[in-house]
Amino acid sequence: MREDELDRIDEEARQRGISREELLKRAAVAGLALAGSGGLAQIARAGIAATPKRGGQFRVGVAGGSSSDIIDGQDIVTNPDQARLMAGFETLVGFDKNFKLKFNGLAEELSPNKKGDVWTIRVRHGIEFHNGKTLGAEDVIYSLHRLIDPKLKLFGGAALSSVNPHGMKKLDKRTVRLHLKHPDATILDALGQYVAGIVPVGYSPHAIGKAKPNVGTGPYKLKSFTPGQQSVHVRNPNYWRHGQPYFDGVVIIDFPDDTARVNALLGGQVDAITNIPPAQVGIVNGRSGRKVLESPTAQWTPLCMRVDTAPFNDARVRKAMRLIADRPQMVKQALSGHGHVGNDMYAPFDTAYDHALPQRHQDIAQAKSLLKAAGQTHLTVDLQSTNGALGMNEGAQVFAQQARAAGVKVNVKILDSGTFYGAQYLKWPFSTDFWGTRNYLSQVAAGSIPTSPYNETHWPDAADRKFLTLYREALRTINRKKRYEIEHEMMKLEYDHGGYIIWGFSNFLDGYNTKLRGLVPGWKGVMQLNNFGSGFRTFWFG
Amino acid sequence: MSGVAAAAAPLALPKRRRPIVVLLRRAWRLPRTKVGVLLMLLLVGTALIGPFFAPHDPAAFANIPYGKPGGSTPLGTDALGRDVLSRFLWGGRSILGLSTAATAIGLVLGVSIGLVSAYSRGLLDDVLMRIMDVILAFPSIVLALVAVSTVGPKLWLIVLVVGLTTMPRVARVTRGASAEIVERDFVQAAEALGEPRAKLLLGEILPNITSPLMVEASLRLTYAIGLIASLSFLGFGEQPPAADWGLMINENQQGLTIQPWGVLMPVIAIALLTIGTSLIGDGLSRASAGIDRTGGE
Repeated sequence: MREDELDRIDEEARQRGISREELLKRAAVAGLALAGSGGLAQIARAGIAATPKRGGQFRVGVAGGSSSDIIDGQDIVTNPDQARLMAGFETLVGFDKNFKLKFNGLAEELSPNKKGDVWTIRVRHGIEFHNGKTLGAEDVIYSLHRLIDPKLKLFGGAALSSVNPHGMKKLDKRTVRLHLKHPDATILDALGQYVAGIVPVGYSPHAIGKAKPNVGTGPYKLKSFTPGQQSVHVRNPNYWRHGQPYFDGVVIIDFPDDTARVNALLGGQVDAITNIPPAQVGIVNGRSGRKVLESPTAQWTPLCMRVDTAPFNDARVRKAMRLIADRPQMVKQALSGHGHVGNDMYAPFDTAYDHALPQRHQDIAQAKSLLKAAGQTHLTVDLQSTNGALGMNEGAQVFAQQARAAGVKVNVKILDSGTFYGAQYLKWPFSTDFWGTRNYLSQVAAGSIPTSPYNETHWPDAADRKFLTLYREALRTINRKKRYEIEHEMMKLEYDHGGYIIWGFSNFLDGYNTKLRGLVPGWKGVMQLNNFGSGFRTFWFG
Repeated sequence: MSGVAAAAAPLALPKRRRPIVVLLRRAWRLPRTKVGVLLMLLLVGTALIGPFFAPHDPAAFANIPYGKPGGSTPLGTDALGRDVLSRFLWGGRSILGLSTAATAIGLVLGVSIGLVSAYSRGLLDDVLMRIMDVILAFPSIVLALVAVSTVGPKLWLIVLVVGLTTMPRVARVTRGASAEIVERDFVQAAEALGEPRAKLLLGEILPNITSPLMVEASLRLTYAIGLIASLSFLGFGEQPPAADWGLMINENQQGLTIQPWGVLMPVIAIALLTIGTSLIGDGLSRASAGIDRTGGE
């Protein structure tokens, strides 16, 4: 588990006291094959070969936000909270633009023993928190303790269930030994999720978002924050990545209203915005000096059928419903084409994703015969939905229309979010929902096993132990090739019998002023705007 | 006794049929009434016959979302790519049906309460009218939202709530108009004859307040159309994928700047419909008050 090429360049540049770009330029002049041609091409493609400039105040309008906004290194409530977390906090490991796990975070080493149940974490040398405290082993231990604290119920804690709170030991100033309850192949994924931020010892121990001072190791320090309105962040002069960040400051502004947000970008009140409604893409692209940044995601708005409730407890009915969906049409009509067709399987960015599963197509004739065999020729079902994310209501309506061809009557019930996410949430027999980008096993933990916090489909069937057995086996298998084989078996089970209709993955549509540089199109991010510029450190004004 | 009845009969009888016919005739002479009736006919016609001329199934996908007008979609497509023209032609039925039903409920309840109030006077009158005042004091849209969010978006509930919020105004007008009628001799005569109370209210008093009621009915219809369209716009009326004018405005507001027809058509239709009904109401009220009378009556 070595660092990737980019990191090696970073490391070397830091030692020589020059920026990565400068180093590359000098290397090119001197004809040195420093990073290898592959590495150079990759860097050139990533658009960071251009020389970044320092200075300026970056203003970004983020969709959503309300008076319940918080800033916490390990939790979020609203969408702007994500941007604020990214500006101030960092994780031990991270994901690159292809959603591959990279050792580009605070950890210089994070390696398992042979069995996979003891991990050694060593943080980089000389990283400082915003208050001047040097990052050390005790901060890592404190952060992990806080993440899994059952009283705080933090967002990122669920994925770290294998961490034994009594099994963390400080070996030296920068090294922690982590004993897990059982071998866990997903621990790196869990530590790489953006909500697993590393916070200093004593950081807001009993509440979320109440830290004073609210400090992390990130590129920007928090200056002021008004929930529901905006936060102001200033450049962290002691930031550990050489040369970064480039802005003097960042202002993150809440913009719940779509029209207002787009107008703010067009009018020049902000330099970038998230979530452009598909209908407005043409308007933004048509304006000189403004552009839309489109990035694929692995976020999905499935139709969820409860496998333990009639009529969907009959696997034939579930299969029929899946055969009813005309996925390309759903992507075209519900997402205005700004997305990718799904195959009833989540986690397409995962290297473990099984691309060999045949793409499922609409087949009304087969759907009808399956329904007939199941005695549901004139099936009528209610489909509950809410305006939670783009694609939920739209997908439900397009599906309802497609179902008519198979003689299935789908009554779309659009509820207010209070009712939808109320007492009945996760109990609706047939509903829509929204999931973000995750790797396969992390997603299984979050939504496809009985202990998952959000298992809408109640998969797997209580009588069927096979899926759970495979899941436990996969977690314990550190060997990647062997683990992928097990994961493929699990995927096949879900693909054949599962309760999700996964028809597509929506793209992020963000807008920016063309004076903004450093944006990478096609970044497979978890969050908008290239994961908010990894904390607004990869953007600059040209 | 029989003398009083005989004296009252010639007074009351000719009045029975006449007021409403006279009113309608007088109102029709006013240009505003004609324009109002024309608009009403146009929109009711669109709503009732329009669906037969729709080029597409209102729920079928005809093009990309917010497709530009042209080809088989003369008014372009909506947020999901459905034909705007077809949805517009299909979308008037529900709003017309619901608002007419709501107005009818409001009229029946309001007239009953108003008549009982005017006739009984005393404590019952006070209690009924204060209850009406309380309902009036609440903004009707808030009442409707409270009801819908507790029970859920049901069409019968919308009709009932809009009917109930229509009721107090009708009751007040009815009571005001009949308060003076109740004092008349023929009513007292009928009372003396021992006519059943219901028959007395509906047979003797009601026919004499038809003019103000006609005016009120058309104004209440205007108001019901507006309220029901607003509730649909907020997502509490017809549920997707149904085509409905109010819902269309909501569904397509995102695309107003690039493909405005999905919003403009229902907005224009609802506007013309309310203008039509209120012009008719205005015509009726002017005719009944004797304004603009051209003579000859």
